[in-house]
Amino acid sequence: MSCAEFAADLSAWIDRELPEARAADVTAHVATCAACRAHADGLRRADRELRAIPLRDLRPDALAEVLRRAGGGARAELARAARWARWAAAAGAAAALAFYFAATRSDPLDAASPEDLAVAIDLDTVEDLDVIANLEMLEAMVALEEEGRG
Amino acid sequence: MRDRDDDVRLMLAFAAGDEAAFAALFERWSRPLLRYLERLVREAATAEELVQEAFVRVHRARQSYRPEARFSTWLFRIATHLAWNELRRPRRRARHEPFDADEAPPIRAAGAPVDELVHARRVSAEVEVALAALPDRQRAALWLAAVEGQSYAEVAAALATSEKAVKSLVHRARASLAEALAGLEDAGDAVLEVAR
Repeated sequence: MSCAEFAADLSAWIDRELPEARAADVTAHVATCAACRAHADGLRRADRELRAIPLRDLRPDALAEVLRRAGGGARAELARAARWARWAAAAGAAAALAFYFAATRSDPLDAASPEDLAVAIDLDTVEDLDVIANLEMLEAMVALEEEGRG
Repeated sequence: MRDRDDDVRLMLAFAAGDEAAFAALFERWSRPLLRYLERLVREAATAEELVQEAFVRVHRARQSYRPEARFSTWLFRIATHLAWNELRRPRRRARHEPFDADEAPPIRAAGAPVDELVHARRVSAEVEVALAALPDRQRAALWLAAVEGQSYAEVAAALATSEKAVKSLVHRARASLAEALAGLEDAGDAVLEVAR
């Protein structure tokens, strides 16, 4: 096998990414071939120089900025959760009404005027019915977060 | 060598509500991440912005974190994706910023003889120039493998490619860098010969 063929595997050999048998072949070749050994040394030196590049400090307020932005995200998630809860509660109420009308065999169109249906899917009505037990708490948390942001 | 278990322990503690653990992870990893991103996007301010964004993502994803890989592997994967998006921006591609040797990293061997310091500075500058000249994927693959010690499988996941492709990317990048450094040595030897 030629040096060129070994050279193609030297980098993976340095990174210990070769299959065991192939790694053993490369190790044996490098031990006896000065040119490939020099090539491997050059590759290793490149790694050393990369690792020697110095670290630099971030701005002093970097962590505070991360926490501020992450907190904003948490607030947004909370608000999204509250919106979803409103939608789910409204959908649940509408479904419950539909079930009630169907169960009592009354005509929903007669029993529920447009105003009635609007009330049925209104969030306040849903909250009064305690469809979602912790909705008030969720709303309160969002309000507090909003106040904090303001 | 960092303690893999310690990073995982901190991340799990943070997921359980310990904000101090997040601060500890930031303290430990923000500077190595900045060093990587500076080489990847080649703009100091943008790199710092991306470091912050990467940690914001970590913060928001704390509940879904699973210790299946090293924390740093996960963090650098997030950062690489962010850098990729940045590099793909049209405004970004239109702006070409050649490396300025005058902005090379500070000489790191304080106290050494002047000619050694000059040589060290030249080597540092040459490394930066050679690194900047590499294609983005080669630069990222080499850094993740050689500096961060990630496996080719981990690098492949970060770059959304195959392990075979990573092997090729790392090899070509490392060979280019070694060639540039060898050229510098040859030039240095020639100068010394002339001086004699």
